[in-house]
Amino acid sequence: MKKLLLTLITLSLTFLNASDLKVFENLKGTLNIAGGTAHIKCEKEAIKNIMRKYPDITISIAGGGSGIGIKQVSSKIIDLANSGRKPTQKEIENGDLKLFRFAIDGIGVIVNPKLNIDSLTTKQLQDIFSGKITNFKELGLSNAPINLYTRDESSATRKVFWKRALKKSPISNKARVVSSNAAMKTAISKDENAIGIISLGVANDSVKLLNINGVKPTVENINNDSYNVARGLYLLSSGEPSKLASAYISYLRSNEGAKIVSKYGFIPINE
Amino acid sequence: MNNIFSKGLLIITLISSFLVFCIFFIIFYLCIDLFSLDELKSFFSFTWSVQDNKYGILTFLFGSFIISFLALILGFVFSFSICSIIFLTNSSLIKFFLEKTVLMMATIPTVIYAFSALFIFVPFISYFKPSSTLSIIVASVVLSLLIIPTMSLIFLNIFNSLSKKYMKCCMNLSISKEEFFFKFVIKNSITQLSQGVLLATTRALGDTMIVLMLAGNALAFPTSIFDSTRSLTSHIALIFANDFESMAFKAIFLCAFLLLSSNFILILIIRKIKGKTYEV
Repeated sequence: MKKLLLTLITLSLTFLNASDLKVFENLKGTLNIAGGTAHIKCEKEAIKNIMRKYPDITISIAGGGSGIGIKQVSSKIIDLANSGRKPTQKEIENGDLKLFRFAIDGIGVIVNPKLNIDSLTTKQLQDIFSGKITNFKELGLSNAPINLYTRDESSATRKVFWKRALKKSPISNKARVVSSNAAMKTAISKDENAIGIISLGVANDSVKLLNINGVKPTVENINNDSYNVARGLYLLSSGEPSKLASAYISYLRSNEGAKIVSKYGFIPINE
Repeated sequence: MNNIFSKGLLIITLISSFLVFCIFFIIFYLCIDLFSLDELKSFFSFTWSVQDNKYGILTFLFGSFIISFLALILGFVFSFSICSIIFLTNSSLIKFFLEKTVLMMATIPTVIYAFSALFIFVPFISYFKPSSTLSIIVASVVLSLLIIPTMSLIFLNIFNSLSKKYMKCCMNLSISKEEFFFKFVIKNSITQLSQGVLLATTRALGDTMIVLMLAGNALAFPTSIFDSTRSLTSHIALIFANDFESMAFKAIFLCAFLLLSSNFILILIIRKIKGKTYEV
């Protein structure tokens, strides 16, 4: 009787515990991922879940920016690349890239939380980022120089922001350049007169997100297209992905993966 | 046994020299295409803008030298002061503390210096000058911390070796320790001090992490030490992600060639500075 009860309990637990991680059943090996820095936090949690359940699987993730990821996966240095933009046709042809979008991420303008400003118009953004406006007093605030921060040229965050928010208006060559979303967050949070750009999934209370043309950068506004400074988050493989890579992509697009993606401020999608 | 050891050393030296030569050759070979291009002169301008097909790297060459030069001045003042105190002090505790501090500074990775400065030094300097958070001055100050051990160890070495040889003799002639230091030691260690400074310069020129994280990496030519600038090393790190066939990527090899050449010239100068015979 006791044995029957135990078996029934174990079976029911197994049934209840049937998870999306089962795609990794019977798989082992190493998966190397690198590229976009916006993806890192949410993918790290997914990787932790996978490696905890399947110790024979080792997955490493690194940053470097979307440009680095595309380059490395095309040269087959890594198995999967994280990219915050759709690769160009030339990049797709050169690297025989296969695209797998798993989320949508917004890009926001951030300032130090001590700054008394909540919204900027497109014209103001263009003037600030081009270097025409160099002092906060020109925006009606106290007299303080604007310390402009941007990302390196291979960054997808920068590219998409330049296209969608700045409408391809130039970015000043006096802007300070940082090489990741996390570095941007640190720089802005330590500088009271800073203004920069960041992936919405990486932003937290140490920085203040600004509205653009009165529209708040939220998941709801991205979904209803009122906030259009957004981009897809992609996983890229060179040629058909390996079994392990395919399993990883499936996991991120599964229900569990979608929960992790949402938790970090992105919009999960599956296409 | 000694014979095997010295032969082994010779082989290792030859292999190391060969590898250094290979690196130089490969960088030069990868640059050689650029030297035959009409666009070569476009690399020797002050404007870098991939969108406008402008690939000038002179701003970054200037950035490298200005940050290193400022770091050198600060580093030399501190190194010389620390070594002078170590030499002149009668307190064994102070001597021990300073020597160990310098040794410990040599073991700290550059990324730790940069990371700590980001959280401690940058907010401090922005309190006094709000427009200069990531800037030349910030990067130079932190870089000087990196090169202090390099210079200090060389300075200490020459001060101690002169002291060992001549101090007792000078003491017997009733020359005080301070007179011995200022009138004999410094005068007869100019060569080694110069070598220490040049070696520290090569270290400063080659550093990437501190400059990448603290100098701001702006593309514009700096007009003051409170402006942001970009060095050759951080430029290589930032444009590495460009397409292999692009001019931007090819500029990396020119940056590497300029860096390698600068260090090579400095090392040659160090080798050429001959030691003097000691005299009062």
